[in-house]
This record gives sequence, C-alpha cells and structure tokens, in this order.
Amino acid sequence: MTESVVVKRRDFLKVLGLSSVPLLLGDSSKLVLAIASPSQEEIRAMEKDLRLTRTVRGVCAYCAVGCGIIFYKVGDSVVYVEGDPDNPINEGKLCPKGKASIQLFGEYNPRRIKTPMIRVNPKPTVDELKAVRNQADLRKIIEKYKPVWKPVTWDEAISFVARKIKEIIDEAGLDPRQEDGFYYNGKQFPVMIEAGAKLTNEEAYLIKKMATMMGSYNIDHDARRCHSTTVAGLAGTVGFGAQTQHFIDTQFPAVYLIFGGNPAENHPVSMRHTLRGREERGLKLVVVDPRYNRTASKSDIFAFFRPGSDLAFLLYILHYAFWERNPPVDQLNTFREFVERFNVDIDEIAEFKEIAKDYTAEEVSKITGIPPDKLRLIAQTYVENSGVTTNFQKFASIQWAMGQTQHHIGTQITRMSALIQLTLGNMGFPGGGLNPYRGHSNVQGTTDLCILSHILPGYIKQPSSTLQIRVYQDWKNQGFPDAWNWEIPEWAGSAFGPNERGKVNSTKILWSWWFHNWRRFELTWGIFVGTDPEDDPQNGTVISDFPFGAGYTENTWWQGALFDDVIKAAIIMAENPAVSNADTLTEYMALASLKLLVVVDLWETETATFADVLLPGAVQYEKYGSITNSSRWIQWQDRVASPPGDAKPDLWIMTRLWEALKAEGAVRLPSQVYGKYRERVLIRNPYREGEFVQLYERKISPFMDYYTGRLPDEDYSEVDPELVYREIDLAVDLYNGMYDWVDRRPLAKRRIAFLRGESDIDGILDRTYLMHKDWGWSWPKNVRILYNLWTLSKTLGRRVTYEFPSGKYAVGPELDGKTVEVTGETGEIRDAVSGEWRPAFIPGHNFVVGKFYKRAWSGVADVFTGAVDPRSLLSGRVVGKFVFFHEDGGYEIKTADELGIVCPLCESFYYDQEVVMAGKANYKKPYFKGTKDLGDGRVVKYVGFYDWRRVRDAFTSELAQLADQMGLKGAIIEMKRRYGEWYAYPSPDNPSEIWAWDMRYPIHYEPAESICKELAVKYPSMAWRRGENFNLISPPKEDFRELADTVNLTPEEMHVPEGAVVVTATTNRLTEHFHTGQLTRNLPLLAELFPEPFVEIPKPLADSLGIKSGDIVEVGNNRNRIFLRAMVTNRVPKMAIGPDGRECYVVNLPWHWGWAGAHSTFAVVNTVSGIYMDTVTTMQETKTFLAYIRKASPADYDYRAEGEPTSWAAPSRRR
Amino acid sequence: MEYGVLVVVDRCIGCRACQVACHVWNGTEAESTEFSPDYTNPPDLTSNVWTVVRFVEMGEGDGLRWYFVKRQCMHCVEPACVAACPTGALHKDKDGIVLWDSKKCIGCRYCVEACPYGVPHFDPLDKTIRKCTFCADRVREGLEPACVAACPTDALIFGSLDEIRARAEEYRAKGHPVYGLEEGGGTSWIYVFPKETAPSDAGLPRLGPETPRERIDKGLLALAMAAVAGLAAWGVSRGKAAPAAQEVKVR
Ligand code: SF4
Ligand code: SF4
Ligand code: SF4
Repeated sequence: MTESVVVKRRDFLKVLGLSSVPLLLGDSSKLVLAIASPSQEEIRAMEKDLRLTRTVRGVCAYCAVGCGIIFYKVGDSVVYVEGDPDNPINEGKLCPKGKASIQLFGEYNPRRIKTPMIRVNPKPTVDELKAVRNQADLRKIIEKYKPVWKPVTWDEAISFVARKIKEIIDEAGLDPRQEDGFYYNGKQFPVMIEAGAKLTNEEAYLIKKMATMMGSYNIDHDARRCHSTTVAGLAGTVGFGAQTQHFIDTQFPAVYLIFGGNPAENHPVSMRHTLRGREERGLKLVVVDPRYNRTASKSDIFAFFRPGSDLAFLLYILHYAFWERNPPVDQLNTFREFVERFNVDIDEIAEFKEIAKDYTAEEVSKITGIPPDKLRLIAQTYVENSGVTTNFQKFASIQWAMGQTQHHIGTQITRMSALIQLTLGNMGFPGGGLNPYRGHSNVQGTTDLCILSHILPGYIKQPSSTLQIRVYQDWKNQGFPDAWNWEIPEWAGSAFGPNERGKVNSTKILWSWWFHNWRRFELTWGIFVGTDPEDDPQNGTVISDFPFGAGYTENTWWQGALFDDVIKAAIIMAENPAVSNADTLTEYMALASLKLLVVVDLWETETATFADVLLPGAVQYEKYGSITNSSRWIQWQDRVASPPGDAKPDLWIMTRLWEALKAEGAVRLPSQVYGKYRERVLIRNPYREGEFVQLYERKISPFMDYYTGRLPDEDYSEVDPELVYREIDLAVDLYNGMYDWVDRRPLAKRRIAFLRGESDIDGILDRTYLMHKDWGWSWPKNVRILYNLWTLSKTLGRRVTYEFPSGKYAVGPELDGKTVEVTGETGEIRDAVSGEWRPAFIPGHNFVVGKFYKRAWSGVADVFTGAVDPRSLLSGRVVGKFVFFHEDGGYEIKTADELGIVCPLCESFYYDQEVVMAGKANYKKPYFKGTKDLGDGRVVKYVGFYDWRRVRDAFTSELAQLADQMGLKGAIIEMKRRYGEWYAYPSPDNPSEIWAWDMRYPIHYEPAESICKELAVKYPSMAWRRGENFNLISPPKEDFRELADTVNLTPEEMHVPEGAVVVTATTNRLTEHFHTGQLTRNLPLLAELFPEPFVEIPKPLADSLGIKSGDIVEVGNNRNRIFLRAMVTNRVPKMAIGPDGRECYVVNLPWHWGWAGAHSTFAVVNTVSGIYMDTVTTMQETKTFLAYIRKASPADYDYRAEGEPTSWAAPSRRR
Repeated sequence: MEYGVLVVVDRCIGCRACQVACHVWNGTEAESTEFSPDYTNPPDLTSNVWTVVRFVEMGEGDGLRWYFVKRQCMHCVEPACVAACPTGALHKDKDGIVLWDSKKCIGCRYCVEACPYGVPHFDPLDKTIRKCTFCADRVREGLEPACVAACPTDALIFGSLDEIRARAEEYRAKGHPVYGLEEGGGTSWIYVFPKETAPSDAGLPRLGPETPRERIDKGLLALAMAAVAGLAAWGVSRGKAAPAAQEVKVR
C-alpha cells in the first residue's frame, strides 16, 4: 500500500500554514481568512493530524481512461481527493466525476445501503407490466409494489439465497450424465448471473470461474451492451478486440477521426493528450456525429450524420481511396507492402473494392445526410494523412465508443473501421490504429477475464462437442505441443486444421492455444477435462468440467425467462439493467418472472425494485484489486476505506456464496458425479506404439481457497485478491506476465513514470512515443501498441538488433544463439529458464500474435511443467518433470532443477519470425458459412458478394413490393417464410438453391427502425437473420404475441398521436453523469450540474411544434411514452436524406435517469429504445430508433429532486 | 509577486471539473439546481458556487460554435469591491489576491453592487459575502488553485501575473481576442477567446481601461449603473440571476 503522511483536508489548510505565515484559521466549522497565528495547542493538534494523515492511491472508478487518483485520509475519514500527478495517463488531472467521487464513500453518502435485506412484500407481476404503455402506467405498478425490506444478517441472507438456488437447480433437474459423456449444457442452468464491469479483475475472474464450475454459461455483463461488437468485429479481423493505441498516444495521429465517440464528454481526461497533439503536433480533429457535442466544439472539421448510417459513411472513405483518388491507394507500393504484411489475397480486396464502388459521395449523402462536398473533404483529409499515402510517416486514427457499437450490425461497423485502417496502412503504429474507448473503469478487464456467456477468461473457446474433448485429451497425450509440433489424429477430421505435424494454419494454431489455456484452467482450478482412461482419447468416457456451448446474454436472457422457461433466478451484481437495458419494459417482465432475484449494489437501484434479496456491496475504492483500463493497462487499486455499515466487497460476497452453495450441495462437477478424483498425466511415447509414460499424477478437487491472512481487513482475511491475481497470471495466457514470479510482485503495482533508455527492451519506442512501459503492465506481454511491427524500421528508419545468447532462454532453435533484427514493439517477458527479462515478440507484434505462439517445452512437459494441486502452484511450487524420448524408444525424465530451470512459472512461450508472420488479418470474414437444409428439397447456401449481387435487386424489389402491401414487418415475416432465411433469394441458376448473403464484408444496412421506408427496403436491416430478433416481430409464445405490436419498423407502423412528429432518436451520455445515473445522480456535486432529465431537440422542429427550452415534451413510440424537459438547440440536426431529400430530425436522449435514488423520474429513456440485436454478439441497437415527439403538459412530468442534496463536507460548515 | 491565471477558452472542453474541484477544496456545498436550458448550472455564481462554467452556443449549420467560459472572481488589479467595502473586510493582498475577512464583513453588500462581474454573493447563513479566494490557502503554499489543478486540458494556466500577461499578449498578437489586460484597469484572471468570437458573446462586460477608483471619482451613480449593466451582461438574464440584478436596482 502506498501511503504517506499528508494532511486532512480541513486541517490541510491549517497544516499548510505551519510552513510559513499561517493564514487560514478560526473555528474548524468555518472557512475564515484571518491574519492571526495559531496557538501552541492548535499547532500540537495540527501535528497530530499530520501524523495521522495518509494517502491511498488507486484508479478512478468511473470511466476506462484509468486516471490515477489519490485519496487523503485522516484516521478512517477520507478528507480529500486529487488526481495522481505521477500517473502518466492523467498527470494529476481529473474530470468532474473523478473529482466528485469522494462523495461515493459512506461517510458522505447517506444513500449507500448498509445491511443485507430480504423482501417481505410481493413483487410486480408480469401481466401487469405487460400492459404498460406509458410512464404513468409504470409508475403506478412500481409504487404499488414498492419493496418492503427486512434487514437480516449476512449469514441469513447468504443461506437464504443458497437454499433457494439449490431448490431451483433441483427443480430444473440438471444432470451431467449425458448420453455421450459427463458434462453440462451451459445454457440450461436456471440462474442467470449478471455482474458489472465495475468489478475488479479478480472478482470478474472468480465469478466466471464459479459459474463455470457450477455448470453454467448463463453469465454475462454490461460489456455485452457496450463493446461486445467491438470485440467481435476487431478480434475477427485483426486478432484482438481492443484498443490498439493508448491514451497518451492519441496525441500522435495526424488526423483523429472521432466517429461514434465523444471523448470530451465521456473520457474527458483523454482529451488532454488529443488536444496536446492538436496544439503541438498539428493533429486534425475530425468529428462526425449526430450531435454537435463537446468534442465537436474542438473539431477542425465537423459533420452531422444520421444515426444508423454509419456503414455508408465509412464505406465512402474507402470508395474515395479506391475509386476517386488518383492514383487509387491499391496502386501504391506502400499499399502492396502493407497488404503483404497482413497476408491478404489480392482477390479479396478486389471483391471488397466492388462493394465500395457503389458507395459514391452522392449515394452516401442520401443515406447519411452529409453533403457530398463535406464527405469528400473528410475522406480526402483522412486518406491523404494515412500510412500508405505518406510512406508510413503520418497516420490517421479512428476513435469510437457506443456510436459504432450499439447497432444490430455493430460488429460490421467496427470491423469496417478495422478494414479502413488495414487498407490505408494505419494499423499497428503509434498514432495509427483503432481506438474503441471503453466505458467502465474495468470493463476491459471484466471482458478479458471474463463475465461473458460465450468464452472462457482470456478469449478462450468454450467446448461444444465431445469430439473436441477427445482431441484435447489426445493433445495432452502428445505432451502439450504447440501447433507446429502437434499431430492431429486422423479420427479428429479436418476441423482442427491440418493433421500433419509441422503443417499449420490459423485454425490449428488457435486450437492449440485454446487447448493450452484449457490446461491452464484444469491445473489452476483443480478440475478435469478429458477422457477416462486418459490413454484412450478416442474411446474413453468424456468428462468435461467445462460446460458445453454458450449461454444467454444480457440481451437475450429475458427470452430465456419469458419464452424458453429456462431462467428462474438471477444474481445481479453492480449492474442496473432496469435502466440500462434496451426496451426495458421487456426486462421488467423478465425480472418480475423470477422466483429469486438477488441484487448486490451500493444503492437501492431501479433493478432492486424487482429484487427478493438486496445485498450491500462496495465501490471500487473500497476494494483491493487490479483494474484494466481501456488501452489494456493494468493498474492497482488499494482500499481507501471500508464500505459503510455491513456492506462488503463483491469478492467476499461471492466466495461466501460459493461456500454456502457447496454446503447445500448445489455444486456438482461432472468429474465428481463420474467419480474422477485423480488425473494421470500420460505422454505417449512417439517411438513405441501404445506406450505411455506417466509424468505425474494430480488431484482433482475444485479450488477456491485464497486465504493468506496477509491483509489486516476482516473482509479480506479469507480471500486475498493478490492470490487471485497470481492465479489469473497462471490461468490466463493473455494476462500471463502481469505477475513477476522472480521478484514476486504484481506488475500492476509498478509505478515508474520514467521513460526507458534507448538500449532497454522497446526503449527507443518508449522514449519516442511516451509509452511509459514501466507504469503498470499491459497485455499482451506489456505491449502498448498492438500490431506494432514496423515503427522502428519503417517510420523511424532505425536498425535495431537483439542477441539471444545460446542455451540461456526458453526459446526454440530459430532464436537460440541468434542475433535478430527488431522492427517493432516486442514486449517483454520473464524467461522461464533464466528468469531474466527478454523480448517476447520477434521482430515485433503482429495481428493475432499472443494467441499464436510456439512453446519451448513442446512435447516434453506439462504446462508450467505440471502441478499437483492449485494451492502449491500459487505459492510457486511446480512438479517440474520433463520427459525426453530417444529414437530407440527409450526415454529419460528430468526435473526442472536438473535442467537448471529458474522460473517454470515464467513464460515458456516464444514468438519467432514464423509465428509473428503467421498473424493474418481477416480482410474477408464470412459470418455464415456452408449450407442449411430447409427440409423441403431446398437448400440455403451462404454466398459471397459476386453471387449475392446477382440476386440482390430481386430480393429488395420483392421486399419493397410486399412492404407496400402489408407493411415492412409483415413483408419481413413473409420473405423469411418464403425463403427460409433472411437476406436470401433463389439462385438464378437453380431455384431449389437459395442464396443468402454470407456477410463476408460490411455493406450498408439500414437500422431495424428506419425513418425512411425507401432506404429501409433498398438497404434492408440485417436484424432478422437472428432468431431472437425475429422473435420480436413474431413472438414464439402465445402469452407474448402482443409484443409484436410494440415494434415500429417504419414511421407508418407507429401509432402517432396528434400534434407529434416522428424523428430518429439517439441516446447519449453526458460528462457529468454515468450510465444509469446511480453513481452520479446520488452525488450532489454532480447532480448540481444536470439535475433533470431532458431531450435535445433541433430548433426548427421545436419551433414548428411550439416547444421552448424547459417545456415538458412527450417522447414516445409503440413501446412506451415518456415525459421530459425540452432542450432546444442547433446542436442536434435537421437533415435531408433519402431519394427525395426529405427532412429528417434527430433528437438526443441522455439516458441517465430512472425512478430510484436522487433526481428520479419514471421517464426511463430505454423504455422507448428498441432491442434489435447484433447478428454476432446480440448487442442492442440503442443508437437509433424511431420515436415521435410533441409538446406535453407539465402535469405529466414526474421528476423529483427527492430530498435536498446533502452537504458533502463531513463536518459541514452548515451544521 | 502577484499571481495570475490565463483561461484559454480554445482548450476548454466544458467538463466542469473546475466547478467540482472548487467545491471539493473549499468545502462549499452543492447547489440544488433546476433544469438549465443551455447546460450552464447553476445559471450564475452563488455564495456556494464560486466558479461556474458558462456554455455559449452560437450560429447554426457550418457556422455553429459552442464554447465554454469559466467564471469566477477576476481578482481585479484595482478591485471595485474593495473600493466599495466600508469596513476593509474585502482587501487586495500583496500577491494580488482579493480576499474577504468574514470577521469584518458586516453584510452590507456594497461589494455585490460594485463588482462589474457579479462575483461576490451574500450568504444568508453566514451573513457575510463569499466568493472565490484564488485558493489563497493553496497558492501561498506553492500549490495551484484547485480548479487549475483539476483542469484536464490545461485550459487554466497558473503563474505570476507578469508571465500570464505576457502569454496573453502573445495570444493577442496571434489574433485572439483577449480580456483582462486593460478592462477595468486589468484583472488577474485573463481570458483568451477563440478567434472568431468576442468576449461580450460570453457576457463579459464591456469596460473601458479606467479603474473603479477613477470611476468612483466620476460619481457613485455612474458606478452603480456600471454595476447593473455589468451584472446584466455577464451574469445571466434569466432565472436565478434576476433577483440579484433587481437587488441592485432596488437600492
Ligand atoms: S471518469 Fe475517466 S476521465 Fe474522468 S477522472 Fe475518471 S478515469 Fe479520468
Ligand atoms: S481559484 Fe479556488 S476558489 Fe477560485 S474558482 Fe478556483 S478553486 Fe474556486
Ligand atoms: S476543468 Fe478546464 S476544461 Fe473543464 S470546464 Fe473547467 S476550464 Fe474547462
């Protein structure tokens, strides 16, 4: 803990006076500027304060910039907060949220809940909620069922919850005994866990671990709603779904395109670096947004655009580059060079060029509303400042947040950004890349580690078939090889990549990486995945403690509860979906349908309205743990204060719950049901058919014991977060390296703000681009700029070499004893043999690298050389056995000691030229492949663009025709009925073959709800490809049929009252508030700035409707009607769109308000937003939907300031 | 040495960290506010809110501009409030900071009338006036004022008044409108405006170079009128500011 003696805020003033002429005195309850000197007594009192005062450092709990924050404490009282001047990200600065965050502590915030509670009155019912169509209806129900709580002890609360969950699991009748083995289906578990992005890395990791060991993948978190489409779009294209640059680096682009983000409001401190670039380096700030926001106020070029037309705008940039520019970028040598680097077949680019061809400035102008001249200006500015046009001297970079992600084609939009950067040579450089800024302080970490329903921590595949487990067991028997040394058995087929040893492709490398990580989980969690017996992978019984498949997401779980009857209970920690979920009324029904809802939060939130049990949690500052910021930097949070009353950190709550569930018998691993308690670790003798060598034996017993007794705090005595941190380092390859096993320290705690010397690893880059590589640690392997392969050689023109002394490091023959050239950022790792630091990626980092690897101990040793049990692993002990086979079939077993291996827990992976260059960007990526049999003699075949183009017009004109007859909703249902798939049409060559667009490249799709019917049929929405979306227009369950009436796909389908105008609505956040508002509305210092809910309305529209700022207006659609204040402004646009240039208005709805806490209202913005989900990730389309707007009566407005804000100052001058 | 602050409006992102930081350092309570039609909140300085960021929206379409101007005590070189204070409670110190001594303040509110920027506000609980202290308790100990220390984009630059004036001159030479070098005899907080704007767009009063003392010499009536004009222009012509302006008139 970094603590030093400083001073108490109030007495801070006095104490400061000690050093020179005292100037501030008087009684302690008043700020008085006086001339008198302090008395001797006063000086003694001050000296005492001085001794008592200390500082605690951490990371801001709001957004993901990751500003360092210092709290000053006197005794148990937190007295002042300031930015951490040493932290290179914020250099002492904070935005208003960071600065106000002192009011989160219990001593200042009377609204914090302090004791566990069980509800004693009934909850709202599904049927009543089903009938809600306006704010007043909702209010009536919520007020009727206002929770009545009975305070209970933690023991009572936890055992109540555990007992209930056990009952619910028993009712569901889950049994891991399947026909073909022992495993659970991860989507059948009746309890949904939603755990927020405010959890620490350790908490996120543990909750996923717990869910997995209970047999559940019904676990998800806010990332689903914020950047899931970024992760999918980028990971599918360049390997990692993360920001490639970092905040300090945002001063280096030549052009910074802010498209889909608003950093001045949502990541304020990041603007420090961006504006520095603008002032000192000539960075041009280009903002394209539906609002002229605070970022736009600083722009060099600004354009309004219609929300939902994102893809068209982005496609135009490449249209310009390929078709308008002379010469086209693909004729440039630099382009060819770059394309070669990302391994793209030039034919693929030709296909994509054909797509881009149609997106002319004139056409795109009709879709986006941006005038053609301005489109040209933006594209030109962007393209001419790119890598390929400047010989990699200048780079244009893209920033975004929810603007790109929250669409039903969000994955396509973010992927399109990546394609632009690939095409223009802007990827993988300081100053050039992709900058999705993430929202929550730790949402990158909670994604990585990973409160998600579809992957295991570190982006590892969840198994989906017994064949995979058999192949995995066989892989183990081959000695845990890397892809190059792995021979995939013939019986596995071709799905895992080329069978022969030595032959690889990306599928094979990825499988070897997933397997490697499965093994890490087996050893660190004490579970078993494989076959019994171990030496018969092909015929043995499959046992998998990993469940199979993928679970419900935050956006689909309501269907799991209402339509599928699977979800019967939920545990929601640090999340408030009753305000944040789209189409929230459906969420309310799902919440109300549950037999048990447990909410863990700081406050009694809107979600708690539906809860049976409410448990008091802790804010980030009240915890110990690591936090990963948006650019993958991991920093440490120390506990500033204990949570108020009986509130507890989530780590404590979840481990308590785990113990109780275990005691209830609710945890039954498949291996336990089978009776598998030991694993024999067997390696097949490659020279003697059928012979296995046993390396060691390990115990199978689920591990959840993190006791160290190291920390003084009672609620951390049983679970030491640092021990969990170590486990993450071992279990998750992505995070491996964040613990320094040689010096035994978490690198997240590293606080060295000096830049490296030129001769240090990555020293030149660190110095030139202010990377601050000794501050914290970043994944992968402390790389700060993802895919940085060429900066040294191409941009800086430096020749840098590194010598691998022979026999010293855990590397293969390609590197051992060689002097290699380094051309980009290598990152660094502690070498497993010597324990010394060495560069990781040679000659630099590249696409997917990190997932791609080679292993020095391939075929000869288990991961970490093996572990008898997880606990000893965490304390640094390994089994340490290696087997070396001789060609005559003999072998010898050696220990790590005998081999002189210093640090088996350090990284034994290495990354040579072959690995780094295997990293391929997926320029083309079909999201649908193969065929689908319709069962009536017809087959749906997913096709590429050339084929799709042949049927596209027939598809859209048939849709248009039907839409004219029956409306768009009916037309979609009919088209899907006719052709068995959406975006499908019979092949012109063979009518029994239906061609469906495989989505290999982004094209423009209108939003599910489009203001312009002509555009909606010319560029149909892709939403209906996904079953859960189709359920919205055609609900699968009788009781919910009327839900289809809440959908309005075009203005024609909406019930529009008199005096109202239909507009395109978008949602947004404000600097001063955070998400559902609980963390800001409840803080008087922030509520002062924006107390009331409002909607921003374009002035011409307001004028025509007779609306003035401050008036109450109604915003509604078929889903709900809400009432808020009007803010009339020219900062939201009126624009001309569509074939006839019709006028279209955009209104903006900040969504920070709900009915719970201070500054409350039932006007929950998301009750009018739609829940059309991304075809890949189920992200909701909250950035654009249809609504009408009209003037309303003040009587409809139900805002309540609810109690005057209380003074923040502990000893208030008012009291 | 006198202190000064340069407010570089071009760098300000309107985040209001300064407004919050001022509360946090000085222990002033948050104000219970209402909806504001233009984000500025509270609409005017109060006895609790010693600094407020004013949002200025102008024009439309391609001519649309939106910028943010932080208001607080200007710490005038020749403060009108000091000149008006009958008890010497308000005083200008050697380091240029204009402070009040609450023990001497009798709550007469002459300063409220006199200040052309509408800064001092009478506090009904303390029965004294209150306003920005330039964080005297920080700057005299070598720290930046709390608002400056928080500002994420360095829109606020703290230094010696000489240095600040020199930087303001540099900006002026580059064509930026500057406020505070001469107005009312000069201020310690000096503003640099974006090129295509004018200080009066943000409501700063048009003041000549004469000092309040000189103006007082011209007669008290003129002073009162200047104060009213100043308040109306710089303060806010709606909502909460109105009573303050009326208060001046009544007297
Ligand atoms: S909210 Fe973000 S920008 Fe603001 S202080 Fe916190 S981390 Fe920094
Ligand atoms: S100088 Fe101090 S008192 Fe004045 S506005 Fe800034 S923080 Fe507030
Ligand atoms: S803190 Fe700085 S950037 Fe933010 S509003 Fe105040 S002056 Fe402007």
